[in-house]
Amino acid sequence: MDNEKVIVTLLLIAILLSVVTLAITLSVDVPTGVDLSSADFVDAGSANVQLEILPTSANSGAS
Amino acid sequence: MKGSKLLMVLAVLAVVVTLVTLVVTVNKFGITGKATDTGTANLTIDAAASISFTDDACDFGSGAVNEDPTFAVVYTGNTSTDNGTWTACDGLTMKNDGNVNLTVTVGSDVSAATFIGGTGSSFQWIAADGGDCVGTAGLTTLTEISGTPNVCNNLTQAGTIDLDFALVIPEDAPPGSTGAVITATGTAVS
Repeated sequence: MDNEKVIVTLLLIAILLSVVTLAITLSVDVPTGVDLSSADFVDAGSANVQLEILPTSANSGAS
Repeated sequence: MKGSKLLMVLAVLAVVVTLVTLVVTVNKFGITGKATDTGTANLTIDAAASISFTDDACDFGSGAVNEDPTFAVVYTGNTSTDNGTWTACDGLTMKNDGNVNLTVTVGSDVSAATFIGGTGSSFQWIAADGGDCVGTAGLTTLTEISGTPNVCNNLTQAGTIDLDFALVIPEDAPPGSTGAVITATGTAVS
């Protein structure tokens, strides 16, 4: 009878551990593809355009 | 007898729950802990969008509008200057230097009114890809600079796009130095 109780207890523990393991497994997210919306998939570069306008009679107010 | 039935029920339940856990784990992660006599080396190369200007400066230098007519036109597409004393640069060149095709847009921090000023000024751009854009190309005609237009929705790896400018500088444009920052943004084609 004592052995039966031990076996029942062990089986209950086994079932409990299996349920916990199943719950953990289901809750873990496994990456299955590439997320193209992440910041690593966007890049930018810049360049400069320069211009100098010299004063003339037309734009400096001189007559 | 009663105790044996309870044991049997619990044992069957334990086996069922364990089997369900096994199936879920294998489906989700694959078989782990598998021993083989071969080794496997895995290499993962992440996709990375990267765009840069290989020609990142366009300096028109200093100049003035000639007396008549009342405006100068400078065009980098053919490096020409009409009725002014500026020297047209050869435009800008951007390159897809990443390992994925890109959708490319361009933007400027200033428009004609800020960059040049005066009456009737114009600051336009035009893009040319030389065949490296395998999708739809944009800015294929001279267009007044505004917003962030799309210049190509599928630029190949190592592909380049030339960006040229046309300036109309009126004689009443205020004297001084001015600049524009041109930004190209590349987004990986999904």
